[in-house]
Amino acid sequence: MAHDHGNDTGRTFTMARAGREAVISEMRKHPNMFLIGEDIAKLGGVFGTAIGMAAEFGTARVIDTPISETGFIGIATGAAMAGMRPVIEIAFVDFIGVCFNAIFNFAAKTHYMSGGQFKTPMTFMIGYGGGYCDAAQHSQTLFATLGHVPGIKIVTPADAYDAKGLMHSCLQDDNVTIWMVHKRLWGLGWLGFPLPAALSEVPEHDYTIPFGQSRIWREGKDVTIVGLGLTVHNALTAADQLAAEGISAEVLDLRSVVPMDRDGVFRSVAKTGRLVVADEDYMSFGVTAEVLAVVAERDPSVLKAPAVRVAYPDVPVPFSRPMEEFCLPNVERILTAVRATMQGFKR
Amino acid sequence: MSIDVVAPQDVWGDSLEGVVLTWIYKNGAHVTAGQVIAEMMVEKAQIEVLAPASGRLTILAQPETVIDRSYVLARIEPA
Repeated sequence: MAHDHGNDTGRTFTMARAGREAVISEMRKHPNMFLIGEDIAKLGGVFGTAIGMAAEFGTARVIDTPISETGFIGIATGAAMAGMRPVIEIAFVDFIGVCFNAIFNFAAKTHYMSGGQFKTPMTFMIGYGGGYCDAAQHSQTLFATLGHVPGIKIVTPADAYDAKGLMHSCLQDDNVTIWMVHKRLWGLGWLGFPLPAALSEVPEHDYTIPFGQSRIWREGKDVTIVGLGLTVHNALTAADQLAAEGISAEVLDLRSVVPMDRDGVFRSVAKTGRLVVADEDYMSFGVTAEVLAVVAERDPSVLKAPAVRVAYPDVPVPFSRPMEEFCLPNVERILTAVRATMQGFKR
Repeated sequence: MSIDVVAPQDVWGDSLEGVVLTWIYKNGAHVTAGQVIAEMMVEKAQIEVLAPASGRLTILAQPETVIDRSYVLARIEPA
């Protein structure tokens, strides 16, 4: 199921290459689209997201900036209001805090506050996540921080096929979109060898994947494991082990944080009766709680056991490897959570 | 007569070792001269490997193989 999209072109892409192909294709179609960020023109992006693009489009459309997210995201937001289609590269989501005013108050709200007169067609491409000892300021996920403000769409693909399709959807949207990839999934050697399950066949033609549409990577009948980004792959590994224990796990990939596929989540949980949600963002006020709320609000009686959240503890990401490993939503924690749900309610 | 695929020669600097990351085309696939067929890494730099000729690809260095600048990564048999 992971690799079969019925469109085998024989090209197996990393997620970085797949996202880049979408950006290049849209930039060829839209002369008013440009890429802006740190280390993209000369270096090709810290995570290889812009390799070769300055050579094709020139440095007027692939713009290396000083280290000032506040400045270049403000510039991009204004440019979007004025009719351009900026694509903003931010290697680490951790750096986005200094631009919240531009994003939260202008990019996300201008379409609404102007009565639809102004749009902000801008797309962020952002890396997130830890697991490689980069400490508290370079390892965060922050889905909920961004997703909490209305007006921003957020996607996070788990393989190259979805990376390209979701990037086209973002670039074609007329308001602010955020395309986020877990650093372990880019396919960059220095962040670990490409995960085979995140590589996939990528068609040469443009295609879109709708916002708010989850994807079932593996069907099961005993428990639904909801993941997104890297936790999809952790859930799949856990599902293999659970199958050996006689537990049939369904793995649902949210793909979109905002809008969330609430119908898809509920459909799966209504079928399996058990829910585990795995997310690398902080536990409290996060994506995991939002997924649990879907079931609580619609019909908690479908549950045969308490739902379990496998999220990041509410602490800064530790630098120490064993301490960081302890905090991550890894396979072992997912297995423990699923086994707990198989015990049912303790009344 | 088959043609050897080796890493680009201008990316090595003082480095003696690199590593194969991923193959874009499968073993046995037909590739076209100039296409990117693989990605490799020297130090922290991501390097593209281009097909030196058109033909059938035979992969010799699987992902995670440590290579040097003369390592034969693959062979291409012109059709």
